[in-house]
Amino acid sequence: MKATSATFNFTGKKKINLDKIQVTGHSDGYITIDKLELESLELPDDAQVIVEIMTSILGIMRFHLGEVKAIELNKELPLDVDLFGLAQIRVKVVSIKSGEVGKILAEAKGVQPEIGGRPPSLLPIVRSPLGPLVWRVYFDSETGPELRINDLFADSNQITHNVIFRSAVIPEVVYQIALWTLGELELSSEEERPAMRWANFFRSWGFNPLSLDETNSAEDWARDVSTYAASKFRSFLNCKEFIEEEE
Amino acid sequence: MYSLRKFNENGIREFTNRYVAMKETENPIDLSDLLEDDNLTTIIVEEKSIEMVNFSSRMECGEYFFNLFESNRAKLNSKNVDPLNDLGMWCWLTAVWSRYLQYNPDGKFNIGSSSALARWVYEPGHPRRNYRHLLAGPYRLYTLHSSNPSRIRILMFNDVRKPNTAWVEQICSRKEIINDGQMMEFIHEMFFDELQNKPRSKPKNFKQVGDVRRFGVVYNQLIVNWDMHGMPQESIKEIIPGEFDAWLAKSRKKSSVVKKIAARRRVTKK
Repeated sequence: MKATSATFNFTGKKKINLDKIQVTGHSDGYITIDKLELESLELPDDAQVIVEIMTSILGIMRFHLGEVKAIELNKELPLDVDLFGLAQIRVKVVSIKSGEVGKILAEAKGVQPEIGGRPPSLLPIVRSPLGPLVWRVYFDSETGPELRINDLFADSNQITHNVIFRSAVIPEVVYQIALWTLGELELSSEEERPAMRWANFFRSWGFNPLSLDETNSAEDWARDVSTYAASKFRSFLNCKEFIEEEE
Repeated sequence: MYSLRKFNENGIREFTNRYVAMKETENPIDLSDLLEDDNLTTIIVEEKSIEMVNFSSRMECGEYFFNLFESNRAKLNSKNVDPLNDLGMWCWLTAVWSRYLQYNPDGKFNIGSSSALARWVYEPGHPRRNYRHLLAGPYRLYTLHSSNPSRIRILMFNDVRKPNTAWVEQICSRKEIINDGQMMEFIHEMFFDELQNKPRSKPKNFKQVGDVRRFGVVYNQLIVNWDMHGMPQESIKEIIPGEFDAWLAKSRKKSSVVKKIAARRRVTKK
């Protein structure tokens, strides 16, 4: 299997790189767009700048930040703190020109708010109702994977810091994310996609999903990454020591 | 009448086991002994206000639970219960309604080996399954569109036990559509027959007529380049492909009939 390394763009829609945007999450329950640099994209002055926040609870919320020539930054856009990690945030620049009203001229997807000056985590841990399950990895193309921990536990740290959990579960989490990354890269290898952030992360471990050759199946590759993670985090040894200490 | 309760972990397990047993044996199983078992449940609202009622439609079901939770909002909050996410409460409510949910409107037992677990055991965190729950599904949709529920009638017009599966699956599985009230209004106008209170029948005498599946596919293509969430209906009509012209023509014709009838009713009332 080979991931595509180039994409075709017949529409002329421009991509707003995520390093041109800065979004901050505020503990009072709102986000602000603090930086949005569009100059290099040469967009029409009168095109409309729109921020869309989508959650499964509130639906789609849209906020107008004015025209390209005068973007209204630092506007308070209401978003509950609990939804910071779950909301999908997009920035769109939309045409108002006759004959193409509503056409998207430029777009940024997968925008994530920084909280307390820290960039968003590669693998957010989210408390979630999971019924009888302890954990599950949830995948979203725009926001990337998140590790969900059953919200019936009083404190999710109890679980994620537990030696047995870390030893037994993390390699499996890595396996699932590795497989997902390969699948996503088959669709597109846009630099800003969450799958690309994971691809770069796996590359830092010496596993490059973009240079997978045809003799290596996706499952085998993901299993190799997972085994490396188990070795790196001393999964077996930590688990064995913990059990022996308990005895 | 019951106090509103939720199952604890053991209750959820027992409820799930009994549902699985129903699937395996294809025979009804009584769940009433679980409902007030203090070892399996905890009370959320003390007042005895929960009674199994037959819903005439998914809309009525969604509205019933919406009103129930809104009127008890403070009590739910004090017990840290979020109706959109509480598995234990929906399992308990499904147990209360179990005698109703087990049988189709024609009285036929409707649970078999192929029945989906998600119809009875709510999966709030699973975006492709959370709308499938027979009771929580209508509640989720009603809550999301509570400002104008009539725009989701195409997903809510029919019996709770017989959801309009093709539509529900195609629309609810696409979060871009189901979360967009304006798009739901567009779908309602194009595909729903208000006079008959059901989806319009497929237009005849047209070579190519897009159906709901095609609509989902086309929408996914259009949203790449068009600001579908912000576009007025007239602009959307201009960009959707010709295969939907027959539906648009039908909707225009029907809406003018509806307007005429409404005008006639107004005159008669005067």
